[in-house]
Amino acid sequence: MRKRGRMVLKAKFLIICIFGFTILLAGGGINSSSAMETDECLECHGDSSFFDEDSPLYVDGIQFASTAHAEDGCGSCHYVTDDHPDDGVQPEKESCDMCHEDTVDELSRGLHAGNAECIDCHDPHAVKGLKSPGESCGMCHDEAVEEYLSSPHSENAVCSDCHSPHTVIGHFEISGFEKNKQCIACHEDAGHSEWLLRNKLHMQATTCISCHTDSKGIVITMYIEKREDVEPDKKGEIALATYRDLTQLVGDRGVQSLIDTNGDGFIATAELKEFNGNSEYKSVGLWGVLSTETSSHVYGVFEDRRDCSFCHAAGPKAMQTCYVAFPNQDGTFSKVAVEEGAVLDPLFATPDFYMVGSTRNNILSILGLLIIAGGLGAATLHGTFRILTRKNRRKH
Amino acid sequence: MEKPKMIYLNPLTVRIWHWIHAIGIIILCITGAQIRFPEYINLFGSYRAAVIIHDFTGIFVCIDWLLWFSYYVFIDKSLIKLYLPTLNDLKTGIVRQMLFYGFNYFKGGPNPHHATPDNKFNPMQKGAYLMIMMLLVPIVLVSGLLLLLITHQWMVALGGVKIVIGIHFLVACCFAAFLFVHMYLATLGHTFWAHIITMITGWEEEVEEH
Repeated sequence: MRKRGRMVLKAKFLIICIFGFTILLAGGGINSSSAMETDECLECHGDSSFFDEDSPLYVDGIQFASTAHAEDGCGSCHYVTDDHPDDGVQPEKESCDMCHEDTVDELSRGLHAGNAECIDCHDPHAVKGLKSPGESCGMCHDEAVEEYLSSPHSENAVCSDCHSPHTVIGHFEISGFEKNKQCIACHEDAGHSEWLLRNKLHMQATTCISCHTDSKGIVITMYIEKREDVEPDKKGEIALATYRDLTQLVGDRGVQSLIDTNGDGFIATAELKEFNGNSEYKSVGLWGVLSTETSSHVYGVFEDRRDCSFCHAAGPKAMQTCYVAFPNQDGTFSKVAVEEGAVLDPLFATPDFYMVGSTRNNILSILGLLIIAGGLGAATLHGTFRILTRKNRRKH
Repeated sequence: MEKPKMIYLNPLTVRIWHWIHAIGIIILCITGAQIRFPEYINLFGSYRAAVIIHDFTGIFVCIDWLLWFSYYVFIDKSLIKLYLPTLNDLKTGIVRQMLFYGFNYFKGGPNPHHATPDNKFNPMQKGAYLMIMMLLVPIVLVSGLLLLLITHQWMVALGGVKIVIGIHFLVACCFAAFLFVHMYLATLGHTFWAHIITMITGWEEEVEEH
């Protein structure tokens, strides 16, 4: 009996040893870097006689050695067995999120999610990693990149200096103020004050790209600003109301109900007037920013923009398109179209937005001209009778 | 031939003020028109020039108005006497003056008002000047100054920039209308140039009514 018990014990020990050894082997498989070292990989993949230099399978060993990825080695992303390539198994790529989890998460929430993956823009084997605009952004945004590369601005900045490709959001989802911050990051001392009247006002009410690109179509976007409880450091600046600020005003009705009271996804002039006249909303107001409908990438300093009449003599017909930008929970903005010509209303639709010369109200203009005509007419009429009756005065 | 009797109607201070104010108002009207209707009016070369001239002239006229007000209130102390219509002016004076300009003037009738240094203005002038100098000028100047400080919180408190702009524009139009009437009435003296010469020399010929 005792002998049989020892046999069972030995058998159990053997099973545990085999199981343990199997796990060790499997573990070695997960840590694939041990299966084949980087140097071994580069013997073939770094040899241009094996792979053409333009081939995606070719890796420039010298460049790769300078990258952060070189420390982890090929095996950290590509698993191969010792028999590679004779085993006939095509190695799979590891997902970037093994190391860059936050960035991949950001990407998954932006417009690029589902449309582009990391290696479309990044070359993990290259020194800087980021491909040239033509090779990365230009793969999809070819017209924009072509336009941009033709402007002098491209000599000083690449796409990603202004557009974050990981948190990419649409032209209308970002506020004009955020857009301007991108420009100010490099052009802090732009020198507008040397020639531009009301410099600060212009900077607060215009996007840089409205003047410094040949973007087309004037658009006025009304942002909701806080007028009470403004943080001390934002005094004198435009303090945009956040999603949270507006939720406190409208409760669970949704921030757009602040102005779009009938919830039809469109803002009528009457709704704007109602919002501006509502005493419950006096802690917020609308601040208009001049922007453009389309976004061009031909950057530059255009001499005709130094002529104030470029914008101010655009005339009321050019000022028909307007949106209200409501803040979303994630910090982006949703723009809701406003009835055409609302900014031309004489008083209450957009009481704080007036672009002198261009958003004048025609009824007010006619009224003013009638007043002047009244004065001129009275003098002319009296003068006419004066001439006709001059003989009467000579008699006296 | 008997030399006409002359009266000293407008002291030098008043004449200087008047012409500075007149030139200022004309410049403001023209530059203001260019600022509002830049597609149609361009008399000052560029929009920027029109805005700069308008701003500086506006400030200048502000100071000029303050000098005028201070002169009549604190130095000459004749603001009320000269500009405030009397009870008689309101009861009959204004109507008589209106009848003169509207009918009797054409028939060759006499002007019911005779200007003296203490009673320079006829009842209609008093009413018009009181309204213009004590109401419209302050409104257009204050609204203009506010527009220089366009982002100031006062603007919001007043109901927004559009209300201030609207008031500024309409009152300015009243000035332009007044300018035509004023210039025309200035020719209605006993000769075409009589009132205009008075505003240059200060002296006016006293006219004997027969």
